Order: sequence, then C-alpha cells, then structure tokens
Amino acid sequence: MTDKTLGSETQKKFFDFSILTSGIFANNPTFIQVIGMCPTLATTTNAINGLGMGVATLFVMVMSNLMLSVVRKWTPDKIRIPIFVIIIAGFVTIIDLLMHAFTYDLWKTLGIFIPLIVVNCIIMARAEQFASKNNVVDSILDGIGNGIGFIGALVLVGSIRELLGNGTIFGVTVWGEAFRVFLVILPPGAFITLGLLLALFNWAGIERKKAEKKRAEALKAARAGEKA
Amino acid sequence: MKVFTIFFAAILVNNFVLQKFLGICPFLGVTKKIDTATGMTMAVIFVMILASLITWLLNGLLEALGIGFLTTIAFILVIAVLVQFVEIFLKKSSPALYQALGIYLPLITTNCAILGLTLINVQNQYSLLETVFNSLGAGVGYGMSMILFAGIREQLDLVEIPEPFKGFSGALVTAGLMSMAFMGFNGMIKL
Amino acid sequence: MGNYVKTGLILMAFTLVVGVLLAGIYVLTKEPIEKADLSNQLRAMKTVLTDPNSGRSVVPEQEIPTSTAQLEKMIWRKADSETVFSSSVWKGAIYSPIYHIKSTEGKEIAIVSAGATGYGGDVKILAAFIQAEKGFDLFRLEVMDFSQETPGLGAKISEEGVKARFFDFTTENLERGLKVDKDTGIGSLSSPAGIREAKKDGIIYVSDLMTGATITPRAVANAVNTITEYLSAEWGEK
Repeated sequence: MTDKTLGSETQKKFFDFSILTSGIFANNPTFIQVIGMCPTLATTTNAINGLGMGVATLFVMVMSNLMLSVVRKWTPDKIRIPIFVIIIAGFVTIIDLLMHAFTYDLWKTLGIFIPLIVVNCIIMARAEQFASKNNVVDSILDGIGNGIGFIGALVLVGSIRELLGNGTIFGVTVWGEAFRVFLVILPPGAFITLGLLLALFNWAGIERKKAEKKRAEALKAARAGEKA
Repeated sequence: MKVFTIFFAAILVNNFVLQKFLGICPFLGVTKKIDTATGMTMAVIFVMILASLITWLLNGLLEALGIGFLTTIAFILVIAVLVQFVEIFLKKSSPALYQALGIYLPLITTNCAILGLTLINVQNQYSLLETVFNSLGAGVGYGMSMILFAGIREQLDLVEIPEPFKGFSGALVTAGLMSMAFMGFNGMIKL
Repeated sequence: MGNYVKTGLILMAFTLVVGVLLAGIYVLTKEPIEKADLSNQLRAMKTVLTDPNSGRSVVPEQEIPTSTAQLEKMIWRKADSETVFSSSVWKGAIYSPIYHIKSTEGKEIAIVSAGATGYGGDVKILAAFIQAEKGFDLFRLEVMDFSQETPGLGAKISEEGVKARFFDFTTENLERGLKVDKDTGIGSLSSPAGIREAKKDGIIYVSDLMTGATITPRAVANAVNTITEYLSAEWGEK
C-alpha cells in the first residue's frame, strides 16, 4: 500500500501511478487483501460473467471513491458508515438501472448480484481506508487500480472454471466436450478453484521472499568479505 | 405446509453460504474460533429476522408509492440502522457479549447474506409468514455452516499443512469440500 | 443536542443529494428500460413462432408483433392479478395475459407465459401452442427466466440444444403430462430413434445434458403441463 505520509516529502505527483499498480498487483483485493469473496465465487461460472461483474463493480468503485473523496471534509466520523452506504448504494442503483436499460442480457444473468455490489467489502474497505483520507485524483486512481485488480481476478477464476468445466473460454470452444470437470462449475468448484489459486499466489510470494532473503544474505556476505 | 419446506430448504438445500455464496467475508473472517462464530451467528440471526420483517413492510410501501428503484438503498439503510441499534442495545443490556463480538458487530452491516436475504424475500414475493420462515432457515443454515467451519478450522490450526495453504487458501478448499457435502441435499426438497 | 442536529442534517443532506441524482437517472432510464423489456418479450415471441428447423415463421410476417399496440390487440385472456390460472397438480401458474394469433394456415395459436418451481425460484417459459385437429400441439418454447437456477448447470436450460428437446409435442404426447426421463426411470436413451419413441409418451430426454440439475428441466416440463391442463379445458374437443 502506498504510504501517504511519504507524499509530502517526495515530489507530489499529480498522477501517482503507483497507487494504480498497487491495486492491481501488490495489493490485489482478491488475492492479497482477500476481500470481496461473494461475487468472486458466485459470478465466475464463466469468463464473460466475471468480466461483466468486474466492470460493473469498477464503475461503482470509481464513482463512490470519487464522490467520497470530494465530500470527505464534510463527513463527520460518527456517521461515516451510513454516508458511505448511502453513496455506494446510490451508485449501485444507478448501474443497475443502466444495465437493465442497455445491457439487458448481462443484467439478467448477473441478477441479484448487481444490487449486492453494495455490500462488496472491497468498495467499503477502499472507502474507509483510502477515499475518505485522500484527494480526488488519488482516490480515483485507487478505485481504478482495485477495480482492475478485481476484474483480473474475476476473469482469471472465471476463465479457469469455464475452461475446465465447459471446455470453452469467453464462449469460444477450446476443447469443448473432450474434457470436462463438472464440479468446477458448481459451488464447490468455486471454493476449491479460488483456494488453489490463492495457494499458488501464496507460494509465489513465499518463493519471492526466500529469493530476496538469499540475495540479502549474499550481499551481507559479500560486504563482510570486502571488509576483511 | 409450504413454510416448513421453505425453512428446511433454506438450511440445507439452498444454504446461504455454501450454495448461494452469500456472507463469505465473515464466514472466512470470523470462523477462526468456535466462540466468535457462535456469537456472530446469534447476532446475524437476530438482524436477519428483524431486517426481513421491516424490509417486507417497507417494500410494500415503496411499491405502492411507485419508487421501487429505491429498494436497494432503502434496504441497506434499514440494515445499517438495525445493526446500530443492536450495538447500542447490546452495549447496555449485555456488555459481556458486546465485548466478545467486538468489531464483528458493525461488520454485520456489510454482510451480503442479510441484504441478499431481504432481496430474495422480495424477489420471490413471499408472504409475511414465508418471509419469517425463510429468514429463520437462512439464519440457522448460516450459523450451522459457520460453526461447522469454525470447528474444522480450529482443528486445521493444530495440524501441519503445507505453507502455501495456510490461512485463507486452505480455508477455501475446506469450504469447497463442505459445499460438496451439502450438494448431497440437492433435490431433497422440492419447493 | 446541537451536535446531533448537525449530524442528522448532514445525513439528510447526503440522502437528498443522492436521492435527487437517483431520481434523475431513473427518469432518464425509464424509457430505455421499457424498451429493453419489450424488445426482449417481442424477441421471445418471434422465436417461439419460428420453426427451429426451417427458420420460417408459422405466422405471416406482418402479423409478428413489433410494438405494444400490436401486443394489446393480441390479448386473448387476462386476469386482474398476475396469474390467469394456477395448477395444484403441476405446481405451476399461467401468467396474465395470454396472447393468441392465427397461423398462416388459419390455425389458432396460443402464446402463453407460464412458470413452475425450479431450484431457487420459478422457471418461466413462453410457449406457442397450435390448435390441431384433436386438440393442440406444443410447437416451441423459450425459457424466459431461470435466474434462480444453479449457475452454469441449471442455466444450461437456456442453450438451444436443451430447449430443442422440448419442442414439437403433439396433443397425444401431452395428454399424460411431460416428464423428464430421469423421473420415469427409463434408463439410457442415447439413440435418436429411442428419443423419438420416448417423445410419444411425453418423455423428454435431458439427462445427458442436465445431470445434477434435473430440477430445472422438470420445472419447464411442469410449466408446459400447466398450460396443457388449462388449454384442455379451454380448447377441449374441436
């Protein structure tokens, strides 16, 4: 996470892209922060649904981050949660109406999960941890970053489940009926796929830390060698 | 009687956590210990029933006034206010429980299971009685999965598992196996 | 006290601003939403009136409804409440209104929307029934709403291949009610000839495509049976 206290010391950039990239990679909401699980498990039966859900959530996240950041000086601490809720719920209703009007089929497929974006922990968390404490531009970037990170996670899980469960990806047949693991599309498959992916990312993190540790020790040894 | 079918279906066949994917965040977050899981369950059941009743009435009102599109906002506000009241009430009447639940109490607001439940009641156009039984069933099912899961996780903590699977990863895989078990209930109840 | 008032006012201010914004979007999207809903309905109607093999409509082109006004003229039965008819046998309901239209050969066609209980809620269909010599035939159906079914599994009911298993049943097939093959214990029906034979008894073969989600096609079958029950009483013997 970008430490905002550093901003005043270093040159304050207008577009701090590190905020953006941290939301996508280092602080990915699904795989690192491990929040926003409900839609990740529920809407990833195929890649397109995951993508649709991700984009809708991105919209709400950016808009609420924006608005919350704008009004942050007027939100008393005691009622900040209800205010967050009102604003987030407002934008969720807006995206629901817009999707009903202009993307009917996707709207029908996502069904009840569109209003459920309101309680998507990611949006609440970013509101609480970032938007209410930072300026508008940074908040927008944070919203975009986390949103893209979320979309990435959704599409990844959705693609895997679609590929293994249906032999297609984004509707395009890869190996079709030749190899299908039914379970992957069902609820248990969602849990297990996500769990295994998480293990994979954890493993990558552990390996990276091990490599860093080795490098640090090698450096220390080299320095000790130089002194001698 | 249909209400009892709805009740049992909500617990087993349509289990909110393991089949419908509602309420995962606290499911993963509060189940490290059986005690916190139980405390959370009680609070959730309580809020679920009250919220369902109030939102059922509210929905009728909103529809009558023709502003149905405000449903989402109205429902979540009701839930947020309810949780606030529960917090105040618990603080005064049972400080011990209040302390035990700690931060998890305000977190009930963002529990998708509660909002999901109220939206489902409305979508299926349940009568008042059906709503109550659905909520009761949902709460019991939710609690059951939470407590079962907490029990398993407490055991998992005592065992050596590979490094990458520690924490949420192993928890998710476990949840997947539980979900598989519950799938056995599919078709048991034909609503 | 003053603090509470201030807090309350701020909360109200936020609610008002968001409320106004919402109301604005609501007004803006009202028409597009109605259009989207209508076009979905019309598209479904056109589909159920089209022969799946030849691609040709059984109704003269100009008769196919393209507007609400035309739909209004096609109404055959309607009810004050949402349902025209409820079947306690099949646990299904027919929704108001029921439309009718004449085919190119002058036969009566009833376009009915009905639903029956599926996995998580009602599965809704739109079906075209054509009046025949001794009753009526199920020509084609579309699955309109299956949002409460198992994602990825029950949702397969919307695939053309699955829906096609429900098309083209004559009045004799429908007599005793449609059933999914799993409910009849009939065993494997892999050959096309076997499937055709089974159709004569009103048995629909779906277990190859929808194992583990039999509830959903069963709901579609029950919805069809609800319509059959209603039409038998209404159309009866010609």
